[in-house]
Amino acid sequence: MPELLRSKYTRDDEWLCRFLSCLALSQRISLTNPQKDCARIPSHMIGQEIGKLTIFPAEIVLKVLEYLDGRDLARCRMVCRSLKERVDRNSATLYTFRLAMHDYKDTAQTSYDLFPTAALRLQRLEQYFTGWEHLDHVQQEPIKLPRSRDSESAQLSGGLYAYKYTRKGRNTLGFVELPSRIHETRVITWSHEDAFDVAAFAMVRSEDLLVLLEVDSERNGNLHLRTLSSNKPHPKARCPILVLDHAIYGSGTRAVIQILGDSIAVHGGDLMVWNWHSGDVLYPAAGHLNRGALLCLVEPKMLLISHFDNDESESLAVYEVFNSDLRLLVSLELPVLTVNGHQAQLRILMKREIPLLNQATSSLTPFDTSNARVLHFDAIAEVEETEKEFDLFVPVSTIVRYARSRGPGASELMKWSEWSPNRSLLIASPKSRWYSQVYGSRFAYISETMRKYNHPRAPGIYTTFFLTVIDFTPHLSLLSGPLQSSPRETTSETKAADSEPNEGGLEG
Amino acid sequence: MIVSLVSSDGKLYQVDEAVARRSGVIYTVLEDIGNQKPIPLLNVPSHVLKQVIEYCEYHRTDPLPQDAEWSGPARAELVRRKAVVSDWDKKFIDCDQTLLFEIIQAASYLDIKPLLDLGCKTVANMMTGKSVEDIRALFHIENDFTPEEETAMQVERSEFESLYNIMIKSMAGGVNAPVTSLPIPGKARRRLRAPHY
Repeated sequence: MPELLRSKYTRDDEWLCRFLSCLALSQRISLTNPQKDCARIPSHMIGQEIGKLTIFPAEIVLKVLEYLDGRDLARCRMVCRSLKERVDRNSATLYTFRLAMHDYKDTAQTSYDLFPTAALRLQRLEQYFTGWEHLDHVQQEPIKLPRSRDSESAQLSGGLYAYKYTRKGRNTLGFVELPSRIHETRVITWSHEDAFDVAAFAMVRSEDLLVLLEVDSERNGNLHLRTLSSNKPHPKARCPILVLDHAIYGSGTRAVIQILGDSIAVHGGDLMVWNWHSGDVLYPAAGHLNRGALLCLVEPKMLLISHFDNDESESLAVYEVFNSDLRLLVSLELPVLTVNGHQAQLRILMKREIPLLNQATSSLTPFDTSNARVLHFDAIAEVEETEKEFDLFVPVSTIVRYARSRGPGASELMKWSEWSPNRSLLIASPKSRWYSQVYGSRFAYISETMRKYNHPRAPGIYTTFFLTVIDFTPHLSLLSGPLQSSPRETTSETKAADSEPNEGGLEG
Repeated sequence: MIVSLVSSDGKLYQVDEAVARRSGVIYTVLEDIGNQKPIPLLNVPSHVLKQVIEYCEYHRTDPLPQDAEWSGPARAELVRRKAVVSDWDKKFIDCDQTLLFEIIQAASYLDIKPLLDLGCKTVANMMTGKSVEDIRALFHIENDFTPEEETAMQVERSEFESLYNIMIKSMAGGVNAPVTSLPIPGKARRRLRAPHY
């Protein structure tokens, strides 16, 4: 104790005793154990050590961490053990960190009553990561899957695999619960009570929604909204059967059903967009999608359509449903690749549907997952008379951002180098796969291998199915990526193609 | 009324009671045992106390924060908005790192919540956008991870394994394998993709 104090107060000074106990009461100082004096800088540390963040008591470090966003927290966890622990042990910082890893946004302000504390929000986030997140079969273990008559009429949603097959002359659906920690592998099949021919279907497991398209003998379409679990009319649907009043389903036309949040889009030559909760028709089945085909709904009222120009080059057109009409927001050019010194235009392979899972936010989650949706396109480019196949991944948020920034009426084509964001990824297809699905920032595909088997009793070619889940969340590049959020420049197409999936994760 | 404060190196400071009462600790002391003698602040050296007094002098008319405001929803809200820092505060806190840390220590010790928040916010800003190495250099932190742990964090994405028990299998050749290096016989592949039975 400094001399001045020593001269003014003595050990038995009553006032000093009361002062010290007063301090102790406010928990600033521990009288019995000086080591516990949390706010005190140990004298030997004064000087060179004082710049250290970790000498601060936990509560101060935590206050600092609370001001950081998830990306900075991710880096902090890499700095040293004590910082990692401090991030991981506090539900507020851990919640922020995990949200950022999945590119989710906190919306706790709007759902504050339900989730008043960070711990509750973290708990809800963990509940959210069920289903897919607990799939065990990511190590290429074979799964026994029933074969679909047509491999393209299969769907994967939330760990449930659905396929179309023919039974008693009609198309019907079978379901396979994929193996996970929660469920055993089991095959559930059922046929429909009213036994109509299923022309197309779509499902969203989180909503327990199954949409079936029936095409009758006069080529009129009926859309049935069922529950996945019981195949009963869906309780949330205002009208569980929608009669499509146009005879639009001509022979040979493959119908596409897309579900996103409240919206359902049906495309079978004509396009119709419909709010299945309220029953409102957003876009009547009137206009043809000229020279294009519906790829997907990127937002409840925004459509992505692959578009062929006069010179047969392909682009992605983003349309908005506005006053029962479609208006073009922006066209996005597809890249020209340089493969082995040859130029090749990338094209999107037409598929029945583009995998895009419904992860729309509901009021029951304190976070917004809409940023995390990633579109996956199967693309091909013709190089030296062989077709090379690629996977093109584009975050939905990117498409929406460019579409919104251009506004209606802008008709010029946006160059690939302009819109190709850092986080879109183009890679050569790695596997012989025949069904794939993007789920959040994960990419799952089922592949098959055929093997000759010379068993004396049953020789032949056997097919084994594999399910693989690939994760391309932003956090890898967060940790080692560039410091400042400067958009990565892409000078040539091949360079863009090589770029890492998520370097733009640093972008604000 | 004037309150006398004594820094850890024995210097005496005389401040207005309203200024002194911005500190939660001094507030409690004055309430409980009154303003009889100089209050010894054993953990605050004079050069830091001078700064703290300057801050309290400037903010002497601000409403005293209620406890409820500094915890729970209001604080979370404040953090989210990264509450605006006034120009004076910015200038005040713009000092070298050692002093900044000492001010934070003192604010914590003296229980001056707005000053503590200002300091923490400033430190957080210093860390924003910095790489792992930069943060280590900035705060003189040694890397105490083993090389294995670091590799695990970077390559195997151990976060996801530990957090969600997910085994992540990366694509053959890595996700960013150059386009030119993977020749795939397209037509053969297509047959595999869409078998018709």
